[in-house]
Amino acid sequence: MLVETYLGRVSPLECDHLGHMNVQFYVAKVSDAAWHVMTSIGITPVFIRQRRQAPAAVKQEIAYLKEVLAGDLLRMESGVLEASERKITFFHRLTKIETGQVVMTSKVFTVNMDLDARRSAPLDAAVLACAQARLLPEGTA
Amino acid sequence: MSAPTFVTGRGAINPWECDQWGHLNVQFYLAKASDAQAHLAARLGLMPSRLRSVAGSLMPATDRALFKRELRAGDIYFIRSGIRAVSADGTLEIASRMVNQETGIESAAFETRLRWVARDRTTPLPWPDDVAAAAAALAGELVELQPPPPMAQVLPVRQQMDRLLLTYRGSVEAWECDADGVAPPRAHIARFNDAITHLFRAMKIDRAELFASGLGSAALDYDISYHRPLRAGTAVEIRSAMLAVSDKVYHLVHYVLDSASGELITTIVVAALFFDLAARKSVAIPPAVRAEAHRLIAENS
Repeated sequence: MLVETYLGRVSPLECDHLGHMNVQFYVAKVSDAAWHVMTSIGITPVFIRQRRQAPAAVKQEIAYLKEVLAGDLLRMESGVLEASERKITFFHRLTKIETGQVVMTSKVFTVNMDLDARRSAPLDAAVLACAQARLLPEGTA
Repeated sequence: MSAPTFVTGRGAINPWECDQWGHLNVQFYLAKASDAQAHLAARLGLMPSRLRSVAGSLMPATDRALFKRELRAGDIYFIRSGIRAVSADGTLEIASRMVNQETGIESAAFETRLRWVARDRTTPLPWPDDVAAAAAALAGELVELQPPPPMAQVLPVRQQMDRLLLTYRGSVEAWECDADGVAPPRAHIARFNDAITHLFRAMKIDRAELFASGLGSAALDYDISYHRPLRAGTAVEIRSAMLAVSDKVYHLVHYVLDSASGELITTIVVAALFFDLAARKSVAIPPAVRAEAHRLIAENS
């Protein structure tokens, strides 16, 4: 299931000398979206603060499909592609509001991390069950 | 029946947007509200490509921002917006509410009046017909976004600026500005944020000592008037005055001035308070601070 995870605008500050949004800011928007998609499976801000664990990115694949310019309005939708005992793979799709064009897709491979031990840890059982119940259909990515 | 509202923003709070007091700094509230307004404008037909190609431009005339609950690093939010009215003077009255998505608690309320102006960002223009029609169709009572009560009547009498405290001096840089070299609301707010530290100094408050004593400072309410565009390359200064002080809340005014011409660029009246950094609750203004506030008020009167 895809959920809306980001709704914003390209700032002139995010654009480079090629006249479009620099790649680092696609990743910044994926990062903001990540907190929302995590919340959709139970890893809320309060959960992270209290349970001291959260998925940490270990690998990312990005397809830059269209350039976006300063002032463009963007929307991210995100969901879960895979979930296992310690790992979740998230999918993000960034769309330009004006044209409806998909401008970026990304897969983020994560490992659940204990924020005190700074080591991998099993996912909470309820979170894992929720993630597995909300898996995106095959072929989404 | 309520006029429609729309989700116009969604995101997360990052640590680099938070200040010494451990919460989202005021300038980023206004930045996120500006982005939300752009999404609302798109619903009226003012899509980004059109805004780049037409002879008109959006310009805020006034902003009211009420900070109700703090947002902290890691929080997620959404913004909902609607149109109250297109007023007789041609300003578009927009309401937005920023909500902590996890708790559902409203964090901030924004009431903004936008104008349609020429490329000089000053000369008023009539709204394009299709935009005016779209705005009229969407405007009305916003049941979910009730208007806030007016700010306490502490509006300042214009005084000789050079008699007021100089609380900021700097310049506007291109990287703070839109593509046409005009600074958005965030850049104004960033300067107010700097100015308050200098006003504190005039009140014999050291921010580090305040922090060490377990107290923080927070804005409650902003009432902003944008008189002229703030442009890249402009040398600016802020003159500030204390207006009123009560048990918990104090009011002050900042004037942003063009240092070269002396022209007034922005006026903001601020209501602010002190809070307990551990309990995250407001506290009575410390007696010594209140005494200094009264001294400043007396000096300005």
